[in-house]
Formats: sequence, structure tokens, C-alpha cells
Amino acid sequence: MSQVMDHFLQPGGHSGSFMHRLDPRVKVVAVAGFVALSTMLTSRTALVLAVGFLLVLTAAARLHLRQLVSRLLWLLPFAGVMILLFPFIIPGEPFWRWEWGILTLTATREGWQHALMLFLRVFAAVLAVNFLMATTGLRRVLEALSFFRVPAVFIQLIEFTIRYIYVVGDELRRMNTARAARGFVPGRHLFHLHTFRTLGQTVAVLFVRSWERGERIYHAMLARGYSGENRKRALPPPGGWDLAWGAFILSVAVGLRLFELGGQIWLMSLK
Amino acid sequence: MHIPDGFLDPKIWVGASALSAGALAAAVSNTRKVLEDRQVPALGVMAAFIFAAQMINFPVAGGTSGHLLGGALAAVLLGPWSAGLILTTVLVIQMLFFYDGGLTALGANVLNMAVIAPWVAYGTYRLLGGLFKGNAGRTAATFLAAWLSVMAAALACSLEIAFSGTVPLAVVLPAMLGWHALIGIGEGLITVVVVSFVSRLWGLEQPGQKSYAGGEQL
Repeated sequence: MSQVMDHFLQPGGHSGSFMHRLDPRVKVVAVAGFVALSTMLTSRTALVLAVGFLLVLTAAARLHLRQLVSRLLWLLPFAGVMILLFPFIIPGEPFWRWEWGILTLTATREGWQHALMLFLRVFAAVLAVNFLMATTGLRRVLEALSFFRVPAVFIQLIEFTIRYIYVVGDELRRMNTARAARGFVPGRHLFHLHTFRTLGQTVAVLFVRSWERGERIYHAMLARGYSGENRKRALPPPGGWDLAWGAFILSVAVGLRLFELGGQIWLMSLK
Repeated sequence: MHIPDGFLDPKIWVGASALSAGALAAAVSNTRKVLEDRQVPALGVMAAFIFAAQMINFPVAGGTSGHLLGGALAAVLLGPWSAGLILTTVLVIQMLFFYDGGLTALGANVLNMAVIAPWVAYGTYRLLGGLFKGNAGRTAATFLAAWLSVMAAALACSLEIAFSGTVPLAVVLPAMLGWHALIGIGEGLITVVVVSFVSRLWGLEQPGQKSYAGGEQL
């Protein structure tokens, strides 16, 4: 987990392509707009083009795809399971059948197409967010958000939380090690109460330790003159080059959406 | 339960984002009155705690496992407004770093897990805690609060996905509610242990008392 976070905490990344130097506000708007528009796409052609465009951007920014693939594994519990189930739950023309005793699984063409569409949408969105985070870095993304009037409480909360995820995470790891050293083996089902008592106590001790640590940190910060005010660094206005790139990224998304709408109207006029 | 991008219709995600933004604005003003910006470091550590607690897996059945959502835990121990801020922070970080939950779906995810879950938990806890006195009563109230908070979040999530036309309601509703009825048991058991442990350690009648002292008034 911490390698993933370290990767993003480096502001701007190490390869330093020109994408890394674009204005963070322009990138936030362009990427958010691209994601919003691409989640509305329904045709496979338009979605494949959107994914292709983002792959080109990713390559132009010299980002590593391998790290991205490992990150995609985080999506599996929810998106992956749903997408895998679609061919079997959406009714339609069957095209694949698997029989095992009394159990029959039928995959439908409609379901498969639906699953593919959702997969492409999720993939496009992940590529876009990855592009933003990996070329901009957390600090500059937060500066951009603060420019867009996101309340300072949230910006500060995100910063503090990321700082202490490492600390609390280390604490949890040590507690896990200690529990394993005492011979704790988790049960295999919900009714193994010993497991839940032990895990609950882990969470409880972690809670109390975090709470006390939070108070200590707060007092230490007060002692050093913390007043809750955040020094704000004004970002310089974006240049023409930044705006041109932002407009280009957004216009690709708008173009794909129009292409799809136009394609539908064209198809309907044929009927 | 993190909805990714592309699963929600624009009407749904824009609507959910507007609701979440309203709830968060209320949370910011309700915590600021007494909490003030100065306590932000303490809330940040609690958000880091929820983040870590969500990584603890518990066994469900047949080799599958679930993990804590933490909505009920945060709402009972810290109050529902603070819980909303903390869980939103966790969701934003999960979206940005782990691509868990989509950018456009953030509003819906915040609504389900940072607004609905803590408020359902808090409402249930206060209601039942008032009805049943004593230790057993509080245990039952905590367990039900946690279980219902998971079910309410799963219900909201299913409705959002179904009304977006992504999955038929008849498919997503039983699947999500069925699975989360089991996950909710784990959530309830762990929340009960944590709440009773913490209130015994702090010597409190009501676990929320400490957070009132820290700021939130309800």
C-alpha cells in the first residue's frame, strides 16, 4: 500500500514530461470533464477511441502501464465481479452455455456487450484519473481544488489523513504481527465469535491509540503556533499552452460524444 | 460497495452529488461551531484510523471475507457530523489513490457511505439506546445500528445503479442486500466490541460524551 502512496506523493513525478508541467487546474477540469463525458458514451467504437486516446496521453506523459495494471486489481471486488456476472444476468440471445450436473450457466450476447461497455467506461475513467494523479501529484491537485473553492477544512483533512495513514497503518501492522505471534488464527465464518472478539479488540485499541495520538498531535501543533489558518499559495494564471491542452483534451471527449449522437441519428435515418 | 465510473446515469450522479454537497456543507457548519478548524488534525488521525480499520478483513463464510465500513463506528463514537467528514475524506483518498470508486460516482458513494450509513446508525443507536436500558440494551442497539447502516448503504447503492439502468433492480437488489446482510453481521459484531471496549476504558455512560467534550453538540 505505501509504495502506491509514495508514487503519488512525489509531486510532478520523476520522468517530467511536458504533461507534468501543465497547470493543475486545467488538468483537473479537463480530466473531470473527460470522465464525465466518457461515462455517457454507449457505443463500443466511441469508448474504444476514448480508451485509445487516454493510452496515447499516458504514453506521452511517459507513465508506466505496469503500475496501472497492478492498481486495477483494487477494482476487482466490486466492478470486476459485477462485470463478470453481467453476461449471465442480463436476458437476451444465448451464445454460450455451460452445464455441470443440474447447474446450467448461459451467457447472453446482450449481457456480454453490456459488460464490455461497462468495462471500457471503467477503464477509461481509471486511465484518466491515473493520468491526472501521476502527472500532477497530490499537492498540486489539492492546490487546484482549493482554487476551485473546495472548503479548506477538506483540503487540510485530506493532507492530515494521508500523513497519518502511514502512522496508523504501521501501528496496525505491528498489532497484526503481535496477534499472529500469540498464535491467533482467524476462524472461517461469521459465527466464530473468538475471531470477532479479537479483531474487535484490535480495532478498539487502534481507535483509542489513534484518538490519543490525535490529541497529542493537536497539542504539539498548538505549542508550535498552529492556528488552523492555512497558508495559501496563489497559483500563477494558466498560460495559453496550458489552456490549449485542456481545451484539446475536452474537445476530444465532446467530439466522441457528438460522433456517437450523430452516428445514432444517421443510423435512425437509414431505417 | 464503491461504485465505479460508468455505472451511473448523469441524472443520478449529479443528483447524488448535489445531495452529498448539501449534507457536507451542513456537516462543516455543524462541526465548525464548536470544533473549529483547530481540531482538524484530530479528525485527520481519526480518518486515518477508519482507513486502516477498513483494511481489516473478517471471515464471512466458505473462504470469503468482508471488511469493516466503519460508518456506524464513527457515528456512535464521534457523532454523525464528524463521521460524515471523516468518511468523505477516506472515500476521496480511496478514489484518488486506489481508483476505488469513480470520480463521477464520488457524490453517490459519499451519499451512501458517508451520509446515509452514519445517520442510519446514529438514529438507530439513539432510538434503541433510549428504549432499552442497560448493557444488553446498548449491545443490541449498537449491533442493529451497525447492521442497518450497512443495509441502508447497500440499498441506496442498489437503487442508484438500478435507476441508472445499468443492472435490473430485481438482480442487483437481492444480490447486494443478501451479501451485505452477512457483511453487516461482521460489522455489527466488531462495532459492538469496539464501542463497549472504548466506553469501558473511558468510563462513559454514553460513548458520544467524549466527542461532545471535543466539540460536537447534538
